[in-house]
Amino acid sequence: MALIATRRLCRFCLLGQNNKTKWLLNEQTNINLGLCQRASGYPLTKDKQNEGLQPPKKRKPITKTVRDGVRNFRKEVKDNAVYFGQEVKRLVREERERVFGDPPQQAVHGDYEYLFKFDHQRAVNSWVLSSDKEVCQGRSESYFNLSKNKTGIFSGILSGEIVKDGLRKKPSYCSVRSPFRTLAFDRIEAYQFEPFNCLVLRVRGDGRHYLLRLGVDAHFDVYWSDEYHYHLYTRGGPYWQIVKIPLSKFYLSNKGRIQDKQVKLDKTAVGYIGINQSDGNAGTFHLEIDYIALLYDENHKEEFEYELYEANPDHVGT
Amino acid sequence: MEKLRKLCTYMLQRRSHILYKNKLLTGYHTSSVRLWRDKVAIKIEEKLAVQHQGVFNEILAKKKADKAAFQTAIAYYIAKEKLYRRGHVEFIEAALHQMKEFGVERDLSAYKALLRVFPEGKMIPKSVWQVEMFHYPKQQSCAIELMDQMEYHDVCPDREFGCILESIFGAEVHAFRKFRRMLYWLPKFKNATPYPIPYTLPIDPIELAMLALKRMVIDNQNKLTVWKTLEAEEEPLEDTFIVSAMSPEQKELIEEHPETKPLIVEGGYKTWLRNISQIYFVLRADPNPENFTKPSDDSRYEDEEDLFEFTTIFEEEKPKSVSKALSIHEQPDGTVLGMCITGTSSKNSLVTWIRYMQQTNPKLEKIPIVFQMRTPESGLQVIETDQEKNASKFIS
Repeated sequence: MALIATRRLCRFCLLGQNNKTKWLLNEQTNINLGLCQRASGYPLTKDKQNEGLQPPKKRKPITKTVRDGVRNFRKEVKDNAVYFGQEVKRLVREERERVFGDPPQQAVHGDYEYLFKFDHQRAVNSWVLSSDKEVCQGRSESYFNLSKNKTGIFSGILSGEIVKDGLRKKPSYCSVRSPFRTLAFDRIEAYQFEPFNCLVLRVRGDGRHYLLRLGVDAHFDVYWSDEYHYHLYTRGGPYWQIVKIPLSKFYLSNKGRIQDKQVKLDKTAVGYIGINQSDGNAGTFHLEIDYIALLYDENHKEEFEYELYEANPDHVGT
Repeated sequence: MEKLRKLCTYMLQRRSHILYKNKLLTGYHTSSVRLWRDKVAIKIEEKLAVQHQGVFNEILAKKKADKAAFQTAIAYYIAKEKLYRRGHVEFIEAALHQMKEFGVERDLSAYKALLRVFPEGKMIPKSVWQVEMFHYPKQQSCAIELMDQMEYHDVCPDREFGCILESIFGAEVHAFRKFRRMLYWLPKFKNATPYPIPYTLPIDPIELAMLALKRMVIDNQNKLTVWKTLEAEEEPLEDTFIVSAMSPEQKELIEEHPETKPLIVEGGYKTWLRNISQIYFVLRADPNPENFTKPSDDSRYEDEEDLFEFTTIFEEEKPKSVSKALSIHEQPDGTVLGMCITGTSSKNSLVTWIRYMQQTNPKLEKIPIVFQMRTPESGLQVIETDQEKNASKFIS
């Protein structure tokens, strides 16, 4: 999270080629080329000779970096001034909205709001991909592209290989995650799901089931790996399907493990939305997403699906 | 007595000194002595694991790999280790790895038989402290791994499984908590899918194709037709089966389709049924963009003249044309007119499919048909395994 927060502010850090700046540079080039971001920062190569990720390039000598820095100085100052101006305007707009805007109204049955609509390249590029190959732990690859129908396609290859490191017993994963919601000057904020109570997706899958993840925007580190999960079952075939999942059905998990002590989803503190593919079947997968939206369904009165009582108070953590 | 004790400590020190000299010990401290003991224990474990895996491999080679063979392997072990059940953890772990080869990874009775390998009554904790300190950790971890594999393969344990587990470990330990957890969560998601398929999938490819197509269609009137080329024709292009899905509404749409515009057979798409993938093809027509343009909200106020053109109740009602309701098969990216799954997924089979469909849809003989097939997904997909990789290294 800290990495992304400093995305724009570190533009002066071109001196010193560490991992962080490499990630920043690649992110910029990727957006220009129309490619999706990757969690590792490296572009995925299809070159069979150089398997896996490309190794980072050697450090340039300090004189060269200083020279490049001096040459780029004027351009950098100009770019940053432009950026500063844009962000100030944005900040003013947001503050004005906050102070003078209408107070939040109660939702009416059928009220909806589009969270993400994948009909342009920018929307697709802002999502972050991750898979085994990205973290050098396997051979699964994932891609997120814009289709001809102006929808996002989450596709890739899941390898059935179980990495022989003595720890892993199950095959790999592929995932795509939404960007964090940011205010002016890239301050990270949470998505607000209030006052809605359902998540709606229009998808066209290949019959495999996917995992929907709602990340928690948490302050304390013990909650950083918390996520709310639910399953996305697809029909397969050429027909679109509209999936409506009430937010009360999402269950709490930490680092992928379902927690015994369940807590209701906090609608005011959702960090991100992600889709995961790890059903263990080796082969390609293909999920076409038109939009992800929120809906208020008056008839859905359930607060939380799962039991909140302690199963056995004598057992710690259950 | 004291002399004996002194002698024993002297002997231990001598032994640890020898081991320290031979670099098997890092120090004289008791923890490092345990380290040496663990190293020996690890060697014994490895030996047992290899031995037990060997037993399973032997049975695989001799007998047919099925449920009965798996049960005999377990019975063989129990008969051999009647009294002590030596190396039962290694045996269970070896069995868990081999379950897929025997085809019993989704069979609850196999897991129960495997659980019975643990000795009964010996590992039940007798105090709260024993419970929290993970009493018999290696055995409990093994039981948890067994249950983890069950969870992964969508096998829900039942009451009998719980009884067996209770007689081995008692009802307080972590392994039993894992069982309780599974019994709570698995039934919640068992029927969560809105597109259910049977627990055991059929083996016959025609039945699998029918199951896949049944799941893919969205209207009730859809009808599946099965053709086997050898039975349908005298000299077929290919020996294959064709399962086709079409509804009366789609037939109507084909009838109404103009003869100038072509129909497209798009293909090589994959559909999955749990762990089995099949390739399907779609007969579709290009969409009519007029049907999918949304009137913009501001269009009402674009022409101010329109504001004053309204009809009152005193004027005669002019009949307006009723726009035809769109059918569910008409989508923004194309109108789906039929789907099929063939045995070979080749162009010849698709041509045969169109020819068979012309019997019930005579219009198809007049409309030009374009075939758009994708080669990468038409049949084989090579996913490299480790063995192949290593082989290629040696060759190059």
